[in-house]
Amino acid sequence: MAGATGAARATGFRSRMDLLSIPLLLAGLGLIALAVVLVQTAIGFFLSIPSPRLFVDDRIKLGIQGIILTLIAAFSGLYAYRLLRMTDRDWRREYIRLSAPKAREFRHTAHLIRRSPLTLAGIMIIAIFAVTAILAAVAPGLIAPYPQDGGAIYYRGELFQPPFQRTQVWRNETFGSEDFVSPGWVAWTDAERDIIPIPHALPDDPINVTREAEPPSFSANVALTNLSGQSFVVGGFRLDDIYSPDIGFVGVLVRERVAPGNHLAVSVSWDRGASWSAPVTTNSRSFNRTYWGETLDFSSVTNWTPTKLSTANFRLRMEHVTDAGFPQGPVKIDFFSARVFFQGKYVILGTDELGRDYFSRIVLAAPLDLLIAVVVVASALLIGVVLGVVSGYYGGWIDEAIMRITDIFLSIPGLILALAFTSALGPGLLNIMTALVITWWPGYTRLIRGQTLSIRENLYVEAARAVGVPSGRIVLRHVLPNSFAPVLVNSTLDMGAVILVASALSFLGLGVQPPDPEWGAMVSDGRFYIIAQGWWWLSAFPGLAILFASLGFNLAGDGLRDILDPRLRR
Amino acid sequence: MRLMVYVVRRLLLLIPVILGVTLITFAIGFVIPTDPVHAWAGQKASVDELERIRIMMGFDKPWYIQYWNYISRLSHLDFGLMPSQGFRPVSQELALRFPATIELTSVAMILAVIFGIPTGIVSATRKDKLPDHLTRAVALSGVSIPIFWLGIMLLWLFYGQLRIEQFAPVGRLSDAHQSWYIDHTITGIVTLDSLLQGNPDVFWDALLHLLLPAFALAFTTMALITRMMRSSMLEVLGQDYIKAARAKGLSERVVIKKHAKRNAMIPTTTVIGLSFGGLLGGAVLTETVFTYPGMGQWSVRMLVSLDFTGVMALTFITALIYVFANLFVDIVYAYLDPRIKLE
Repeated sequence: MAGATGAARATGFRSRMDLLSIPLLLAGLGLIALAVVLVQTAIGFFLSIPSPRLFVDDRIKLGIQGIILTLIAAFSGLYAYRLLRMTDRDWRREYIRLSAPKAREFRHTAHLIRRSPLTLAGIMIIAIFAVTAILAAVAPGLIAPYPQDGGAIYYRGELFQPPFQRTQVWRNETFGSEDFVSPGWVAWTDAERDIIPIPHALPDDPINVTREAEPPSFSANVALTNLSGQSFVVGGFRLDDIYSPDIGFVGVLVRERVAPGNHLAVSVSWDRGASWSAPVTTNSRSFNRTYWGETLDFSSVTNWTPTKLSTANFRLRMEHVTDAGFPQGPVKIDFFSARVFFQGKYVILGTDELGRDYFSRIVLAAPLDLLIAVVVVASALLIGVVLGVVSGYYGGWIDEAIMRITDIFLSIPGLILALAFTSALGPGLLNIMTALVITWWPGYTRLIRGQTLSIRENLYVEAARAVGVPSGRIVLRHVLPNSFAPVLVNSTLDMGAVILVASALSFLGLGVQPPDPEWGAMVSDGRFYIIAQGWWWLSAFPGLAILFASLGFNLAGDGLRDILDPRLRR
Repeated sequence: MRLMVYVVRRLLLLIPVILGVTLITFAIGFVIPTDPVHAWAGQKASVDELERIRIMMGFDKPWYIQYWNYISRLSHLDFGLMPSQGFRPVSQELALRFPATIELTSVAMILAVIFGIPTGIVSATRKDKLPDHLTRAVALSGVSIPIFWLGIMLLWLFYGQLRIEQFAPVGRLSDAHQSWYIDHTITGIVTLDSLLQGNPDVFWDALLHLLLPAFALAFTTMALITRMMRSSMLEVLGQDYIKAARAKGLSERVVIKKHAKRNAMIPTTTVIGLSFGGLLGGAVLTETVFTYPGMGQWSVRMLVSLDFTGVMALTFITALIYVFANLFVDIVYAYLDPRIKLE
């Protein structure tokens, strides 16, 4: 091998290196290191001491994890070995020469893929999905405008916002009558037994309610003034989280009980009391069960900005005034609040029931489905390859036994089998993946068994056996590479199917638990609001995401099937 | 005669498969993390009571004895009791829900076949023209669409927006006819019973209530059948006997109907049988979305209260149905294709 070129050369490791060898060597060493790490982790799984009350399924899960990691390590090791061999110039040249026909086949396949627009579309959709998923997992800030919880705590009040518009945000800051003490004003405990209704939504504003519900005793407190001319100034309204300058409404909601002819004159200031708006008088209707309070509109007194509404700057002034011809009577303020309405952040797909941005949640749920699809198909493929090859190549009673077992598993419909196993194992990502692998492995076993059976009859396999090639190498070198085409097609199509089943399981409530976003769970959460309130976006968009992910895999799989069909090539 | 032999042989092969399914169902029930005794004993049972119940229910016996008890109970169709529903027998609930699911699945199957096969034929005969492209696009989206999402969107469109009352997701019948049906139940399948007893109003009511869920359920299968029919038609149309038929001078219609379609149906029947499993699985989702009182919705709802008897019964029964449906399809296949019988 080393002397294949025939020229006399110096021997030794360094002489076999050239410029290309160095990165190849590093890659090889890296892969070997990865393999060693994976094998160690796998051994750790195998040897992990089960806790005294561990159930059977946990140990099986750990065992399967260990097996999968060991296999990944084995493959990494094999490829590392090959990369290391590539550092030898002569070996490299020989290898490239021998694999030229295979490379030509691959190039022809790539050419056929390029010529088929649907396959390209499918691959593009898969690529978009994969990139979104990887970015969402690794660098969510790049792709999701808001974090997973969408700042739910902050952006409360933006619940159920429709898509393609900016959120309509109300801010309320309520002052109760015990909060201020000013000359002439008494925070007075009123022993009257008025039953005050619990704060409810105002008739013209169905989504806004006051931020705190009043405790019953609170409403018995009023701030009382008896003499005209008494006034107070309050500040400290916590309107700081107004985050956009597009302010639509600024007003004051006052709830009061007055003697006839007496009013409150309210004015606002936006620069710590340096300038005040013209006072607006309340119309002093007595409140009752149906009349909650009145809203005084101060939107046009100045050009409002968030700075003007900040805690330091915003002030409210109330003065007791009496109309001419009426005696001075008590004015009792129950509570008042500053209300601000502004256009908030732009939400592409609306918000959900906790005010979280829907687009971010949908994007952040992508890695989960991609992970499930890849891991489940890879694991099922692995199991299927091992069992299918053993079953097809050796035949006999092993074949019969494995076929009976796959028959049994295949006689239970896929979703129901996955449902049964997931319900038994419990919710969670790992359990869903285990259940799905259990559902999918019989299909692959049968597929690869069929492929093995048909390839085994070929003349070159018989020739190899006659020469004395060990069965393992026949399997690796002949059977597996020749069954690559249908395996690839089925894997691609199955990834789409796995996404559908996984989202169906989380739709039913099994699988990933809240608050982790998952498309199926989001569809399920949104479906209660779709008929009565008509908020269609809550169910529509995650479902569209599932549809597109699955569509990409199906398009690519279909296209690949047509391309790789040997009767249609050339 | 050969057909009889084939049928008997397949029936005998069924038995180990069904036994295997019971083994799986039993294993799942055995492996559930929660101790089943607690479900039976309740919250405040003492240790002695737990032991007593454990011995009484047979949970202390080794697994093979428990499995034997399980199988012997299953052969009487005794699926156990439901702890979360006051220990009512599962079979009592199943008697109500099994016909509902069967009805839904059958109507969905009929819809899928009625719409799928002609569409596949049309798509194949007009290959690469507009109907073909449209059909292929719809079929592809049908295979990729999540059933539950399709159901929700259909519900929104027809009930939420258009407010067609009959599509309300309230179950199998509207209230007016529900009381009539409770008194006049024969098989449990509403459409059948109402036809047998000559009540067309109930029949139409039941059919309308079935329409949306069955369509949502059938869409994926319809797409599958269309694709399969299209590809097998294309294969058949390339055969020599089709060329011979055309050369004989037969009209295209006759060629397709009498020669191509029948031969193309053969692989399609296999797909129909296999997709029955998909329908049974999808029925769980559709029943949940449309609140249709079937087996799937019941078993999923019981999962919330950690009651797994429903899922176990559902698994076993759907496996039974699937296996027998496939057997039936295989018999039809053997009948249609004489080559199979001779194997």
